[in-house]
Amino acid sequence: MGTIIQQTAVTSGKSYSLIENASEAGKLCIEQAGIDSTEIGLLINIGVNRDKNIMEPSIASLIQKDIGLGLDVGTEEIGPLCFSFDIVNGACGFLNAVKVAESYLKNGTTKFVLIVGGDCHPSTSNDFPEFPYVASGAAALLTQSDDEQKGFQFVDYMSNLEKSSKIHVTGKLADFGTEGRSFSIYGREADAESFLMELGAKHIQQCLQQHGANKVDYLLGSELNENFAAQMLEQSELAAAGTKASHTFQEFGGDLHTATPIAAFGMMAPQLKDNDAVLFSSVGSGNASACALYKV
Amino acid sequence: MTINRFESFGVYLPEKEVTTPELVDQMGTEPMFDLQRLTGIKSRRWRAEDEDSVSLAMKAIENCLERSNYNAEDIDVIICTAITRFQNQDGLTFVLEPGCSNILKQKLGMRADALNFDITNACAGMFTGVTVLDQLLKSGAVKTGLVVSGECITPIAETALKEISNPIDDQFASLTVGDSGAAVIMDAQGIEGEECIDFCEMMTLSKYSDFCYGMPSEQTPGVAMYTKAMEIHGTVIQRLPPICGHYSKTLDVTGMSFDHIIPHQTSKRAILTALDLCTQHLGELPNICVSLDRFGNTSSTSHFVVMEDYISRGEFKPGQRLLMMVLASGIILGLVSVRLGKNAMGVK
Repeated sequence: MGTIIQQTAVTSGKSYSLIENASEAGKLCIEQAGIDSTEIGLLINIGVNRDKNIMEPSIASLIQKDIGLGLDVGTEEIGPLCFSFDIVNGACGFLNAVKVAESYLKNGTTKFVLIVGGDCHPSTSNDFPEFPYVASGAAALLTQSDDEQKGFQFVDYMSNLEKSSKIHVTGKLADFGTEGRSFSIYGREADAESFLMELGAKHIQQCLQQHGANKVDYLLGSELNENFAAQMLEQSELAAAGTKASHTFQEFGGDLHTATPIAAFGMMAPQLKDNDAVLFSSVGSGNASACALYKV
Repeated sequence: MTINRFESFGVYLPEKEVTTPELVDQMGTEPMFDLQRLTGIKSRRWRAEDEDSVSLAMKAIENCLERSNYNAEDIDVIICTAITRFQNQDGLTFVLEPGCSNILKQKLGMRADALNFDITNACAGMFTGVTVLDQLLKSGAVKTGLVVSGECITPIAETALKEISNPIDDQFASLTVGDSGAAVIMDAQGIEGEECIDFCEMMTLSKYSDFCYGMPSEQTPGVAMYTKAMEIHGTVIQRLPPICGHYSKTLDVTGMSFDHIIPHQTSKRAILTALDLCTQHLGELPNICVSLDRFGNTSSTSHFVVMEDYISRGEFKPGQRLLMMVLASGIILGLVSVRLGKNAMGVK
C-alpha cells in the first residue's frame, strides 16, 4: 500500500487570510476529488504564518470549521469525527505532514488525510511589502493506493546541526504595542539561500544514493528565489540526468513557502505519466531539508 | 502490532510560586466570585525572568532523559507541542520560524537525520504529540520519539491582570494558568497490561473552534486569552455523555476499568460537573486526580504535571491504568489510556 496524493487545489490572489485561502482550497480539493468528506479523519495545517498571530486554537481547527468537517457530535450518536492540528516547521511542513499522514493511513486510522497550508501576512492584508511570500492556500488529499509501487517511496529529513537558523519569523511583544495581531518580523541572513541550496542539493544526492533511486523525472523543490529551482537542479546534478523542475515562483509571482510542494504537484499533475518519478525537496525551517520520492 | 509505551517522562516546574490572593490583589476590578474557591487554585508556578518556552522544555527533557534508558542520539523524532513559542530575546518574543523543535534538536545533540517538527493544538498539544507519535510507532516509521512542551503561559495572566474590567470578563480563565515543562519519550517496547498506551482517541469539534482564542491583545502590549466559558460549559461539556457512551462500547471500558482519571486541569468545579456527566455511561468512576491547588492549569502539560505530582506522593503504582481526559480550544476532546511502567515512574 503506497500513500498517494489523490487531488490538490490551490487558491491565490483573492484573499490575504490563510484561513480563507486554505479553506477555499480544501473545499475545492474535496469537490474535485469527488469523495465523501466524512471519510476525512485527519486535517493538518502546515502554514507557518498565522492570521492575527492566533496562538490558539490551532489554525487547522478554524479551517476545519470553514470546510465543514467533523463540526459536532450528536447528542445521541457520535460521528463522523475529524481530528486536526497544525504542524509548524517552515518549508518542510508539507513533507512532515506527509510522514504523519502516511502512518495514519497505513495504520487504517482514517481513509483520507487532508493537508492544507499556505502563508499570509498576520494582518490578513496586502499592506506589507516586506512580507516575503505570496498569499495563497493549498490543499492536498492523501489516501492509500493498493499498489505499493505508487505514491511516496521514502520521506527523509536532515538538519545541518552545525549552523543555526538562517530564516526567522519573530515578534517582540513589547515592540508591537497594541498592534501585535498585525505584525511579524521577517529575517533572512545574507547567505541563507546559498546555505539552504547546498544543504538541499547534498541531501538530494544522499537520499537518491541511499534508496538506490536512479531516475527522477521532475523536481518539485523549494523556490526561495526565481532561480532557486534551476540552481538546485544543477547543484544536485539532476539537470545532467534530464530532470525537469517545477516553477511555482514564476507561475504565482513569488515564493509560496509552505504551499510550494502542493502547488508544484498541482501544476505538474496534467503532464505526469504512469511510473514517473517525482522528487520533492523542501529546505528551510531553520537549517533543515526534507526530501521525498513519489512514484506516479 | 506494536505495543507502545511511555518509556520515561519528565516535568519541570519553575521555583517561583504566585498565590491566587497575590494575583487578585493586583487587579483593578474585583472578581464577582471567589477565584480560589471556584477554581481550587491556591498557587501556581511562575517563570523566572530568564526562563522561556525553550528553557522550560529543555529542563523537562533533561529530567526525562535522566529516567530514560535512551540517550538523545537514540531518538528518531522530536515533536514540540507548546502553545507558547516565546523566547527571551531582550524581551518576550514569539518565534514562528525556526520551530522550537529545531532549536531543541540542536541543543540536545540529536542525530542530524532525526525528524523534528512543532505541533500547535492548544492545551491538547502534548496529547496530540503523543497521538501522532503513537501512530508513527505503530506504522514503524520511527522506533523511539520525544514529545515535549515548554509552556510559558503566564504572559496571558499578566495581560488579564492589566485588562480585566468586567466582573464576568472573558479573560478570567487566564488567571488560572501556571508555567511548566513536560517531556515524554515513547517507544514500541511496551507490555500489554503492564506498561502501554491502550488507546488514543482524539477529535476536534470544529463548530466550536472560536470559543477560546489566544492572541496578541489590542488593548495593551502582550498576549491575551479570551474564553467563552459559559458557552463551553453549555455545549461542549454536554457532548461528553455520548462520547463516553460511544467509547465505552467500542473500547469495552467503564469508569472502573481504570485506576485513576486525570482530567485537564481547568477548575475544580468544572472538572466535577464534567465528570458527573460522564457517569451516565461510564458508571462509577475511580480516583479523580487533581493538582490544581498548587500548580493551576499548566495548559498543554497539565496531565503530565499531575502524573509527576501523584507519583512523587506515592499515589500511583506501576501498571495502574490511567485515563487522560483531554479538553482544549478547537474544541478538542480526547480520551487516552496509559499504564506507566516502573521506569517511567522513576522506580529503580
